[in-house]
Order: sequence, then structure tokens, then C-alpha cells
Amino acid sequence: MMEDLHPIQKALIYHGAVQCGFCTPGIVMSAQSLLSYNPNPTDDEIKKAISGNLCRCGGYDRIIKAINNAAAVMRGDIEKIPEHSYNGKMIGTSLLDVEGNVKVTGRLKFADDIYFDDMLYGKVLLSAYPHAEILSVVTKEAEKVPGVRLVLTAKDVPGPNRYGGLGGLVQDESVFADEKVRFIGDTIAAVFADTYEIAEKAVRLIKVDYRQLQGVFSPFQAMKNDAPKIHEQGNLIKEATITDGDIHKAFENSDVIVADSYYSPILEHAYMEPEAGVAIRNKDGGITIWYPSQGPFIVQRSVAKNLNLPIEKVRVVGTCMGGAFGGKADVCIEIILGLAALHSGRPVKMALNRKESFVMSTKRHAYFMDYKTGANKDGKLTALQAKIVSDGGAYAGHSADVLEQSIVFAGGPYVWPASHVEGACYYTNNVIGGAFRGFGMNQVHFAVESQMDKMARELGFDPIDFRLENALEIGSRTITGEIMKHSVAIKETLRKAKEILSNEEIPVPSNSNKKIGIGIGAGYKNIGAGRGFVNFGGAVLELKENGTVEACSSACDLGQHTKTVMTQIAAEATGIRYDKITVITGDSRHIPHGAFAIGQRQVTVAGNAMLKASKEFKKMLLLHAAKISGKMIDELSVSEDKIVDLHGNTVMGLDELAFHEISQGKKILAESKYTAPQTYPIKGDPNPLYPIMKDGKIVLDYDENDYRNYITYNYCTQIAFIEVDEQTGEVQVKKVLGFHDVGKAINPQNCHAQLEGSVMMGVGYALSEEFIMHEGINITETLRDTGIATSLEMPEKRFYLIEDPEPIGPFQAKGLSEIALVPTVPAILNAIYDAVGVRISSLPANAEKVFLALQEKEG
Amino acid sequence: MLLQDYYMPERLEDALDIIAHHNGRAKVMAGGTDLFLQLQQHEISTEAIVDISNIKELRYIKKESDIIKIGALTTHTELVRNSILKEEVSFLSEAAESIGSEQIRNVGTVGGNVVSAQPAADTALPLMALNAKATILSQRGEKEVPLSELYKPQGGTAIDPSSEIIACFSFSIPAKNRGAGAFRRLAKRKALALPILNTAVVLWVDDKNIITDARIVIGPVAPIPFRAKEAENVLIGFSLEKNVFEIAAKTVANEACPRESFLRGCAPFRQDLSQVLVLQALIEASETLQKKGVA
Repeated sequence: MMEDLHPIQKALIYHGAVQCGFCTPGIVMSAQSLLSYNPNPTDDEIKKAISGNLCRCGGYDRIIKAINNAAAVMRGDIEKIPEHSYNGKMIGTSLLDVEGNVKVTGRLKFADDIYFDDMLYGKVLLSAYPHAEILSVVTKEAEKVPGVRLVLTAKDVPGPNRYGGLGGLVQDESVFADEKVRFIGDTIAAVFADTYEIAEKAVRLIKVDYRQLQGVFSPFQAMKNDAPKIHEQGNLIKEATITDGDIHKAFENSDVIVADSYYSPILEHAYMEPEAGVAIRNKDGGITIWYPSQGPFIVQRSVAKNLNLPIEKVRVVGTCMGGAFGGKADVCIEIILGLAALHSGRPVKMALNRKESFVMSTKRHAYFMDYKTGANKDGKLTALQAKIVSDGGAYAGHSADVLEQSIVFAGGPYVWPASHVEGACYYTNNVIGGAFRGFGMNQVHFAVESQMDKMARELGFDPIDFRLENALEIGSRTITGEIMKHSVAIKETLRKAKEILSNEEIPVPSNSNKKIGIGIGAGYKNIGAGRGFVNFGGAVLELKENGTVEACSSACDLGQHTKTVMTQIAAEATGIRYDKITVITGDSRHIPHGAFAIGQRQVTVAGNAMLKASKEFKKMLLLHAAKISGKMIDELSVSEDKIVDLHGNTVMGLDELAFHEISQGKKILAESKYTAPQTYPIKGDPNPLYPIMKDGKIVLDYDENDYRNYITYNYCTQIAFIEVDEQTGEVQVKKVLGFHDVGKAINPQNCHAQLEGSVMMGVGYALSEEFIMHEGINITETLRDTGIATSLEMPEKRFYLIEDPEPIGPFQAKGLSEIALVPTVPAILNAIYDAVGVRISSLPANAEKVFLALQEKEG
Repeated sequence: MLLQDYYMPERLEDALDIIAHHNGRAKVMAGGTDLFLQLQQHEISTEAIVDISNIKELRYIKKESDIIKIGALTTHTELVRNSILKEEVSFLSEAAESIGSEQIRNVGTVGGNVVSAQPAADTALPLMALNAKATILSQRGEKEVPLSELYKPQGGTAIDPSSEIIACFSFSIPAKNRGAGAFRRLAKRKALALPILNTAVVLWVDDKNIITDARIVIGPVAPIPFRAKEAENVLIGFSLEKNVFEIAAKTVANEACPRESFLRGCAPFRQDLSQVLVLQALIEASETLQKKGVA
């Protein structure tokens, strides 16, 4: 297949420049346009040429490398681009994306590419106000518009008209708002018509009478006793506290105490693919929905409940995601699609435009944090005091979950002899806070890593040495009381960072107005949801008639090449060549339960299931082959696409084996489930999100030896080199070096691609991204306004993978992606201080803030 | 108004006929990068679109003795890559290159940038600083109007949609009159971003290096591109010295008076930044004058 591709397409695949694939066809076109007038471009010219093509998954590094490579082929300087990277080994090999071909040719089907004849197109009516009572909804005029086939409102929901966040713990969201609207993303009605244009016209004819209510636009307003109640039970979503040791005494005995307030704004995921889905009514009265979901089973449950259908009658087919980053872990328009198919009996489609997607989808929570930390002259930390307040938005979503996690990680990857951390999250009339790459980790690491930098400076310590002095190691106790047991690689990442930095070339300022700064950030992050949440997944392998293998996995591919990694695991464990294995994900009818892509858990949870099932499957293959051939099982093994004997001679092809058994009505398949080790909630929390129950009561204290908040963690250190323009306040990130613990890199190129993409996101988070709300209305309405970084903001990036074997992971691997965004922001912010001596504690550190801070500093 | 007709005339007179026929209810479209969005978002409505992008006679850049003429349908990409502009008014090429992205620059035109009348239109600012004139065609004939008169004071274009189309822009090559310009822009990021502030300046000196005339245009600080006339006056009569530029830049900050903006930043920041950018631009223009051996 690959030989038919253009060199640009081949190069994009070969260099791992294709992730979710949504932006790829555009990149191909821009590259071709550039090379048509400039056959030998510089890196800067390439960056400029692709600066109108946003890629949210990657860091642009690979795209630039690929375009260079393709240009060389097109000029005739080199002959060709390799078509695969297979070297006979599976684990540790950078196998190319198994879907690369369909992605570079634009043939990968996203949900909005699905088409049925006779399909209806839907448009939603969203709330006009951030907080109001609904007095009436009149749809008469809309129904009269020719071509309108269906108008849905709350009265058309057969079920409870409620759903909620992760696991549906708090079911406070309505499919269609009935009595009240709590933010501008609340849906009041939906129109389905022969075309989008008709639907849109009809939506504007729906009359809604509101009685406006006083809005609550910050958690500090929300916590006041006399604040308007957004939900009946009040505005508090969750609060929790951890206390360890006596902080007052510890502060008294500290040589240095540093305190500051930090702010991290609401952020938009800005995945390239806005929400879109298609639904049909099946002959049995059930529903099938195609939708790009990180949690197809959560969708299935929420749809079944609201459509009042038995769960098995709802099939959710998770389509390829054009990026997600946590933003497609919550239910959005899936239930509306299901209802429309149910009521109309026709295929229905809805694709949100960017404006709708921005208000309807979840966001990174805004955080307000007060930190006070102490240390001694010898460089040892003494005490941590933190108060975290977050803006949950109109509905509970993942707010409690994210908050619990922030509390657990509030101290960063360090040992604090005494700590007191309080956190609270409130409802407001803003957009909903949800899951977003890092899940509560980023905000607290920004604060604690800034504090670390300040303390190191006050004590005259090198920032890496100061962190090394206090970093967690095996046997250390975290602020929640977990004793770290294995694969604690933070010190190794710090040491490696120090070693590399000592020989690293420091960028030179590009003119006399500019100053260079270097900043350090470190961090750690959980693998899988924890605090009592049970992480489980499954895999099923089946031999098909033609001798290929279908491997259904509970993984979800959001564009991070999970299918490729699952293929590698299955190939390694079975001995079957990778291109004989097709991994299937996302389809609730076929895949094992537990599919949920959150918290970097795919490799550990779905990967372990795949490993287990693959081992079983290999046994099954040999068992059947032994029976047919009359040989002993021990004499046989699997090699590429056949069964061989001890001398490597072919006993039979897998196709022959398949044909023989399947023609006799037998199936060769193996199924396996994996449940990750038990995790525990925050000690003493009377109301944990995932409680452990004993005798009908919530357990509050746990055995010190078993106690762990998560399955495991990964660790990292990053160094940012930045340049500040003292005249304008602009900051340019020149270079980021990352030192990352992965357990074992199953696919090193994939690891690098994830890291580059995360760091790129970090550049935007640190310097330009913000989802601006004013009194409940979003000012940020377009991708442009989000301020996500383009190829022209791209720093040079280099990563060092540190392989500290993880006993729990398949082939000792850990997940890797979210973690890389965690230290980038503080590294950049600490570098700004290093360059010009101003401390920005409110993100983003845009030109305005740096400019004003420099002005203030100079008086 | 419901969109009923879409025309793609290939000759200018046909285009003029069509707009006259629709009597103000048709929109002339060049690259369509703004117009399409406005239509899609129901910000405007029109009875007909007259897509003039096929009128080849309006697409050129040429030098006629001391004058540069740019056809109104010249795309931003063409402005960026043109060697005459690079040589004579590189700050105009630079300004064109700061617009949107390559895809937008490939279709967006200089005429469109001026007619859409945005206060921070990146190519309109340097053109205004160059004292460019627009040649406007109608069925009544042709007239030449200074660029600054193409705007209504309260905002929007002064071009009559029922009868007029801009044919070209022309300006004297600054170096021929001992002049040089510069452009500065600050945005949230380096591509696909609206300017927080942008400015274009041109300085002219006599043979004793005394500033004889100056143009300072800045956006977005008013409903239309803003000419900082007080600051221009400050410069006239002085030699090319940094302290004079500093006084002029301060004057700009006072007269320009940028507003608060959620997306662009607070007023004090933008006011102080205007001073920084204008100063940088004046210094660069003066350096160019000196480098070229004019001054």
C-alpha cells in the first residue's frame, strides 16, 4: 500500500508525524505547496509554511523532520523513505502507526464522515443566559418550517433526563434543560431536519421565556452564605483536607518560608475534531451510535438510561478521535443523537461547530491556590500548607475527582515532613470543569514547583540539587501517607537532567533587548484513576479464517497510537507477526468492558489484559495445532504466521490451522480480564468519590503497608530555556529538555511523540492559552482566541527516556503522555524569573503580564 | 436578505454593471476571508455576491518610475514574495506576512484588507503610512482618493457598494524622496493571531537629515486605523535622534488611547506598548535611512 503514497505522506508516517490524523491531510497540502515553490526549505521556512495548520497532538518536530526528508527524496538527494521499521523485535521497536496509511490519505473515518441515505441533521438550541429559570419553551414555529422532521425538548426524554460525569456518580446534568439553565452550554431543544441549514433556521424560531437569575461567576462568590444556589443542595461540590504532622511547629523551625497565591485559568482542550456523531434506530428498536468517545460504556449507560432502553439495546461504536485530551471523556451530545434516532426512526447526525463545542464541552478547571512552604538551610523541606479552590462550573462533571487528585499531588514529588492541604470545589455559572491532560496535576505542580524555585534561590541552592535533596524514593512517604514501593524514578530524572545541563549549549539572545533564562520543573503523575476507583480492562483474541487475528481491546485510541502499541504487545506475546493482527477498539458490542481512556492507564490496564489474553491465545493455537498435527504441545511454537516445530520447520500455517478448525465449527479464541491492584481514597475523607465500604460503612483508615492512592506513578524533570523581550514582555521558549520515566518504552518513537505534543501544549498553557469568561459568557469563541501554540512558537525539544522497570506494567512499561505537560509550565515560568527577575503567578504569562511585572519591578 | 445570486465576472466593467444592477444590495468579494465568516455567522446578509477574484487585470505589482502600483486583487502572498516590494518597502511585505496564515494569505487581497476597514488591518497601516492613494472605479469613471479618506470616521468603509470598486493602490517609493518605513506588531502568538497592537511608520528627511515629514499609523486604537498626527508633528524639523523618537512615541501613547480588551489586554498595557512599538519602528526606519546612505 505504502508504495502508492507521495514522499510527503510516506515521510509523515515514517517519522511518526501522524498522531490522531485529523490535521494530517492539511499538513500534506501545506507541505506540498511549500515544496512546489521552495524545494529545499530551511526549518524556519517549513515552520512558517505550516503555521496555519494547527496540530494539537504533536509538537511539530516530526512534521518538520518529515517534510525535510520528503523534500530530499523529491530533489533526488536520497532514494526513498523506508516503509516500515520492523526489525523482528516488538518491544522497544518504533513500529509505525498501523493506521498511518489511511490517515495520510485522509481516508480515516471520523464520525462526521459517516453518511447514511435519508439522514437527518441536527442543531441544538443553547441557553441564552448563564443562570435563569425557564418559564416556557414554544417550538410551534420551528416545527412548521418545511423540512423539519423532529423537534426535541425535555418532554421527549423517556428516561430521567439526567446524566453525569465519570461513572455517572453525580447525575446533575440534563439532556435538555427543563426548569432551569445553569450555564450558556445548557441545551434547551434540538431540531432535526433534512439539512443543517433548515435545522439552524428552525432553531432560531424556538421561543424560550426566561426569568433571569443572579449569576455566580467565581468560586469565591459561590462559597458565600448568601450566594444564589445553583443547585438545590448548595454550591459546594466537594471539599477535603489532609493533615500530616504539625505544620505550625515545622514553620517555626524553618529557615526560609515562602508564600504566594497562584492562578491557573480555564482552558479549552482545542482538539482539532469538534464533537460529532451519528445514530440509527436498529430493527430491534435499539440504537447504534457512532461517536468519538473516550468512554464508550459510559455513553452506553447514559443513553440507555435516558432512552429507557435495556443497556444491551444500545450499541456505542467509538469512532476515531481527532484528539480528545480528556475532553471526550464526558457525555456531550450522544443522548440527543440517540433520542433523535429513537423518535424519528431515521439516521441522524449532528456535528458541533467550534462555537458550540467550546461552550458545550468541558474545560480544564480554573484553580486559585495559596501556598506557603518552608525549608531549612541544609536544603531539607519542612512544611507545606496549601489551600486550593477550584471552579467546577455549572455541573459536577469530574470536579470532585480532579480536586481529590490535586490534593493528593499538592506537594509535588517531594517528601514533606509536615503538611496541611485543603481543597474545595464549587459550582458556578461558568463552563463545566472536566478531565484535561493532567487532571488536576498541572495546577498544583505549577504552584509547588514555583515555590521550590523560590526556596532554592533564597537558600542559595542549585534548583536541581534542592529537588534532589527532597525527592521521593522507594520507602518515602507521600503527604497522603502512601509509602512508595517501586519504580520511583524522580531522582534519576533529576540526576540525568543535571548531567545533561552541565554540557548543554545555552541559547544566545537574538538581540540586545532580550534575556535568556533557564528554569527547572519536576513532577509526578498517577497511572490510571485511583483513590478507590477500580481500573479494569479486557482483551479478546480470535483467529480468523484467513489466518489473521482480530484482537478486541478495551483501549481507546485518541490518536496516541494505542492500537499500534496493543498490536505490539499481542505480537510479542503470541509470536505472531504484527501485520497479521488487527486491533479493534471502541465498539461496545465487541470489546470487553472497561474501555475508558483516562489517566495514562491504557498501557497498564488494557495492555496487561492484552498480554494475558495473548498468552492464553498462544496456548490455544498450540493446543489446536498439536491436536491436528499429532505433535506434543511442547514441540510447537508460533512464528510469524505459522506453527513451527523445535527445529523451526513449518508444521502448518495459521491460515491452515484456522481453516481446519473453523470448518469444523470450532473457534480459536482467548479472552482475558485484568484488574489493577486496589487503590485507596484519601485517608479520613468522610465522603470520598470512590469509597471502600466495610459492613455498610465507609472505611476511613487503611493498613499503612497496603495503602496506595494509585496503581503506580511516572516521574519527570524538564528544563526550559526561554527568551524574554524586556521591551514588549514577549516570551519565546527556545528549548525544552525532558527526562522521563517510562518503565519500559514499548514504542520509543510513540513515547517521544507524546512527550513533544505535551510540551507543546505546555508552551501554550504557560504563555498564551486562556478560555476567557466574562459574567458567564465566553469571550474566547474561536480556535484563534484560545491562544494554542503554533509551529512558530515551537521550541527545540529533546527527551531522554529513563527506564526504571515497573513491576505492574506489561513488559515493565508504564503509560506516558499527560505527565509531560505537568512540569513544562513551571519550568517556563521559573525560566522567566531567571531571565528577568519577575515572578508571574497568574497564568498565562503573556506579554501583558510580563510587561506590567517588569514595569512594576523597575518602579 | 436571502443570498440569491453569485457572480464571477472576468471583466471589471461587468462587475461594475452587476453592482449597479443590485443597487447596494450586492457585496463585492475578493478573497472572501472575512465576508464568508460574516455571512456564515449571520453578521451580515446580502442579496448577491460579486466574486471579483477572476478579474486578472486587478492583480499586479509594478514600478512606474518613482511610483509603485499594486492592483487591488493582489494577494497577501504575492505581496510577501514580490521582489520590488522586498527591495523598496520591505515593511509592507513584512506586514502582509503577519496576516493569518499561508492559506489566508493565498486568497486574502490587499484591496479586501482595506475595504473591510478593520482598524488594525495589517497591510492598510503601511499603505496609509506611505500616503498611498486608491484608484476607485465606477461607471462614472475613475478617481484617486487618499487611503485615509476611504474610511468613515465612525468606522467602516467609505466605498459606495452600489457603484464603486477599488482598482489599485499607488504610492511614491519612499527612498526616492529620502524616506524609509518600518512595521511592528505584537500578537498573542506568531501566526493566526489578531494584533494586540500594530504600527507602521514612514520618515522622510532632507539632505541635512532633518525630518521633513513623518507618518505614524497605529491600530487597533480607534474605529479605523489611527494616524498619530501630534506625534508626527513632534518629529518634523528634528534630526534622526533617539530622544526625539522617544518624545514622539510618548505622544503616540497619549493621543492613541487604546481601550480595555478581554482578548487584547488592559488599556494601560496597550498604551505603554504603543510607545514601545512606535519607538522600535521609528528607530528601525531611521536605521534603514542610514543604512541606505540616504541620511
